Amino acid sequence: MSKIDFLIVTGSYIFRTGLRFLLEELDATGKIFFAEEGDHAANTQADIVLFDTRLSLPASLARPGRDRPLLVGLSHDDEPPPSTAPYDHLLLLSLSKSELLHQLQKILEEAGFNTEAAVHEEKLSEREKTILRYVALGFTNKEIAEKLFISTHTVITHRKNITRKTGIRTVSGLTIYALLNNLIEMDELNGGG
Amino acid sequence: MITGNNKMVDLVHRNYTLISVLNRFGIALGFGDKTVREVCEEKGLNLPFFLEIINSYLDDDYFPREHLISFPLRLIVDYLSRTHHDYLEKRIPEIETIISSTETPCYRKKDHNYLLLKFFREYKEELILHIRREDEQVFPYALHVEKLFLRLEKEGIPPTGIPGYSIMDYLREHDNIEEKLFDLKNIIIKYLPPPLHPEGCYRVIAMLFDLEKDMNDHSRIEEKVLVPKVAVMEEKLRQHARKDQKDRS
Repeated sequence: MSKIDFLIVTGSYIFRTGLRFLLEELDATGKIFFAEEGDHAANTQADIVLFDTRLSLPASLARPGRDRPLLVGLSHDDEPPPSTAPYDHLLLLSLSKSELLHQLQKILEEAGFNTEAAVHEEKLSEREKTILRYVALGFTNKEIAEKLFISTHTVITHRKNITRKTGIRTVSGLTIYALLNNLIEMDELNGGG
Repeated sequence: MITGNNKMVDLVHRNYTLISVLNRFGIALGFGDKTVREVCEEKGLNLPFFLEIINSYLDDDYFPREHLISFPLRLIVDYLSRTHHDYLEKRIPEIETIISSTETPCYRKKDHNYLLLKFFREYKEELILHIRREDEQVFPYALHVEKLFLRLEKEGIPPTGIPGYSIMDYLREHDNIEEKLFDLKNIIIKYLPPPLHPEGCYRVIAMLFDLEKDMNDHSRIEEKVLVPKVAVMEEKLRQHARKDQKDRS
């Protein structure tokens, strides 16, 4: 499961801290960034921006577009306006904790984010195991691509999936994983240098 | 928020991992009822700087604050260097002692103990390289920039030999070290079999989590205080150099 990075933009310390606690309850939450002023959100890398509607939106966020992160307005009024524009969604700060979580889940799901915690074990496919074997033995993406007659791009996609499923990010970590799961043998590793 | 009037003992009650931060300031336990201000005066420490470090450690939303940027670079660099020392001389050897123990090995199978130790040592080597680069190149560079900057500001002496290196270059390296530590935790928690001697194994996990928390705080000081502070001075020096060139031509 890939994690979702959030940016919380509000001048209020209480809101920032509260929202952070709330987001930390979601399994899908990755990094949480903070900004106190609207301008600081202009070049964000986050997937979702929670933006205090009392602040003024920087131009780059005000325009809807494909590369704009999902924009959720933090609304202070009990009556949300008839139109949410320019925000993709509005989140009422006066809601209860469970309502807030529920709303957030709904927003994430509508936007196509995977919010379910991985309940089943995510098994590696045979293809992924083959690629993991080569990675563990020290081959580069290009070498693996040549061996398997696939593009480097495909190798990279497989590697991303391997990291997502195993939760291991470094090559030496993956090597240990491969050894522990008998995808490679200890002497192969030593023999290969 | 901690102020000079808080009792030292309350800091540790609030978060015991602060003990290692106190250590870096040369403050040992046994402070009785002394306040933070009293202890800092006794030790000749800069109280505002001490408070900034403690408060940012306790609350990561406290960062970045302008005050911390206003302190002399020397104070910041000294603190960061002592943190490095703590990692390399204390924490890492402590963890290594446990996982390399042959009397009470963490795991039943030799191979598993070997793999854990191998991965840990790789991590250690990378950390040493990383820290050495900061101690021997990045920090001296930062102090050099500050020296040139102060000369220009206070005495009007134009900078000579502005290095082509930029403090921003160094930021890019930070990630990988964190990833390895993350993997190390996952390998022990998720992939290695249940341990033969769990006590040691659990201590290792606790130490890795503490180390991670401490390193996050450490990186935050580097990325949000050290780098921006140096970058501003670099920019002023370059502006001056450009203006100087223009005046001459």
